[in-house]
Amino acid sequence: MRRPRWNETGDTTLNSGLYTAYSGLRAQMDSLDLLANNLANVQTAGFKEQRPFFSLLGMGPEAGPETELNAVVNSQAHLAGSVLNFIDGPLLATGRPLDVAIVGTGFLAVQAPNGIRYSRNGSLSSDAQSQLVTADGFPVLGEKGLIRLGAGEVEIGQNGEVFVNHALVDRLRVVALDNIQQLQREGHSLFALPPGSPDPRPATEASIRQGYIEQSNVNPVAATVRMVEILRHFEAIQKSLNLISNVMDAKAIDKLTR
Amino acid sequence: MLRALYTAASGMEAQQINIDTIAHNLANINTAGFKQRRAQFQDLLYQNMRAAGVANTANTEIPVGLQIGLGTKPVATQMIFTQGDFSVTNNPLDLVIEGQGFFQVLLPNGELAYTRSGNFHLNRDGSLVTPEGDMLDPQITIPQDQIGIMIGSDGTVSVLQAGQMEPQQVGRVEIATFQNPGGLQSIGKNLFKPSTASGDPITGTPGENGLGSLLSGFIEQSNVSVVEEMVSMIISQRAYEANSKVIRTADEMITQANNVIR
Repeated sequence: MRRPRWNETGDTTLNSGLYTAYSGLRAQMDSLDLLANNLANVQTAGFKEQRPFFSLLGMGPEAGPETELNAVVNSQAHLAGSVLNFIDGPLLATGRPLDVAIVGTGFLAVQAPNGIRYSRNGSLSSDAQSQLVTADGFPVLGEKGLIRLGAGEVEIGQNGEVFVNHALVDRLRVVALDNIQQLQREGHSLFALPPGSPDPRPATEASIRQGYIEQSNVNPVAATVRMVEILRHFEAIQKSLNLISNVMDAKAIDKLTR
Repeated sequence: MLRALYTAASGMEAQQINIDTIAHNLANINTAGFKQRRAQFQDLLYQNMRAAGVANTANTEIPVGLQIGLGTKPVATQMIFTQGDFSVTNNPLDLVIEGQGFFQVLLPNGELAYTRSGNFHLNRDGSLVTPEGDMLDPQITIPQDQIGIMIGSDGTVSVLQAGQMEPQQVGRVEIATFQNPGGLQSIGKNLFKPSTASGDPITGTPGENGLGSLLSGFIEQSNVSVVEEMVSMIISQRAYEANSKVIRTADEMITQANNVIR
């Protein structure tokens, strides 16, 4: 949207405060959308919370002299990004042998239809070919490729080594991703690397816990508090918008034309 | 704004399925051989508003992208095949499988079904049947004049007949396992049917090739833990509540936005 601006003489086209307030409403709405997604996923294994990241949209050099008034009136808030909160979620003991939780910085490598993807959701299964797969049936990769379990008792060591009936089969490919904030979320509990990224390196600070799943790291109490905060911010901005458009502008138009 | 409404609705729907699963687990707390189910969720699609790593100017790139997710979806109800507790019944026809495996049951339509519930009975022909009257497969028939039945850990069924000193072997209980027991289809009555996801049954003698061994005179109780289900229920209820609050917040925000123009 084109924004009217203060010029050098201090004249203004219609109130630019209106647009600043509008940008604030828009940013609060977008951050409620983010929060809604966090809360919808409080029970999704391996889910990582997204936090809003606001930034000030300045006017740039064409806006005229950089006076303080200019900067305040013409800058707008917007939701610039979603920051991944990568802190580990709490572990839940399930006792299921194919549930694995990754403790520390690491991801499971998954062969998705569009290429290799990375996941923290370790609620795995074996399919009819007895391959280790995710809940969507995408194969989980080991260092030798697909992991074939066969019938028998599965044990997974802390270093990711997979044993079937005490015989070593393969080792889970657990990788560390350096640019966590640039990961693309694809749904299905999968993350994709941005195009052109180097191959990820094996994780060194991660260990595997068999029989556990990592729960979502969303804290519902904190999110509820944040929700109240968003609503109150929205309300305050709405009040100022109301003041600008319904009180000041209306008065100006009403009185000056008499 | 409408995003938040639908996102929260997906969260509420997911919690409903979670509560449904918990209710089913709790309802089957006394069902022999019942295996606990757990609902599993995934995040839905993401709306890419701003991509991370894209060049901002010639020298800088955007460090953090903006992706707004659209909620959650239930993907699976997993069965947790951990061993349930054993309770003593002293009835020789009550069997538990200690380890992996399923009893094979012949349904009236000629198909085989599989069960963990080992409370068997005799029918009027002396055959071992489930409480529903379905025959154990392979069929085992106990002679009329028996005075004692013994079932060994390898499934051997021996019968001591009146007037004899030595028990006679009359058959062997075979059990089956699957590549992926989680892919079995539950058909009620404690029975499972194989599916393309589970793979074909692999039958064998109890105690061999990774199959569990049998224990006679016991019943395997359900592996549902009441405390665990109660905790899940509380979490699920709170999550439902939080999602409903998002809907209310979004609604209030829309109302306020509507009030900007008087």
